[in-house]
Amino acid sequence: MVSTMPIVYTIQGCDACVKLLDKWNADGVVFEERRADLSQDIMDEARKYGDVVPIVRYPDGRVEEGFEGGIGCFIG
Amino acid sequence: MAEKTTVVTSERFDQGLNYSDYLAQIKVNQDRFSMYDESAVEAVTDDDAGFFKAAVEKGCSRVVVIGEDWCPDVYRGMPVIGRIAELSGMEMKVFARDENLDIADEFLNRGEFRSIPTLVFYNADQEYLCHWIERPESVTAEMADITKAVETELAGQGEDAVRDARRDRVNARFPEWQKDTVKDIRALLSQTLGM
Repeated sequence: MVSTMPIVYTIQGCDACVKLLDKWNADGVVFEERRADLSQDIMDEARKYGDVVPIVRYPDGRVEEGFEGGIGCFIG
Repeated sequence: MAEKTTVVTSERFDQGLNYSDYLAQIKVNQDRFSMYDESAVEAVTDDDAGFFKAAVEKGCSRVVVIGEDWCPDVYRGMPVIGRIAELSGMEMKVFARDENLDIADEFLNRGEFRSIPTLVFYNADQEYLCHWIERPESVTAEMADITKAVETELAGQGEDAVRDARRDRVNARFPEWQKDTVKDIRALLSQTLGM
């Protein structure tokens, strides 16, 4: 099923993840968060798209890693 | 010589998890911990084991390991200190960083980052001896070199190809980097304990 909202892979304790989600919440962005530290399946899924969380998958297929040049967390 | 106090009192130390108990409760990367537990057996030589036994006899009898299971530096490095502890008799306790931020904040990398793994060595009276953070500097430099080389060689081939190639080359170096980690920890303890 194709998602109609951004999917963001995060882990607990990742400052860049927190900053991204704070900004999106402040901007009213609707998104789906998937915690890669809580499930091997989600960890494996996140690694298909990048090495550094936050990893964002947009509905148009674009993928972005990290947030505004901040230090994300390496999961690769 | 003990130089500072620590939030890790003897009572707090006892609240940490043994390595086997830690492995039993992690949520991700069980396979990678298992893989690098196996390579750690080769990384810690008999000579190393003798050194670390001597270090324990000189007073370095406890180590706290701060980590998180999602982190590659942790699933590569924690098996090394686990093997060292197993062979030397050093008592090792693992603390999840994000559930023990007061401990993590006592040993910030460059005074700023909660880098993992962090190893903190103590004597039997729970007096601080020294600590080690994340990975050897030589490994950090080699990681950067690999990234640069892959990006140059695969220029124009797309992000997925670059990422996969980088991962393959970095992961292939993990067993050697475990050996570098042993040397780094050994040098730290040698300097701290005057061995």
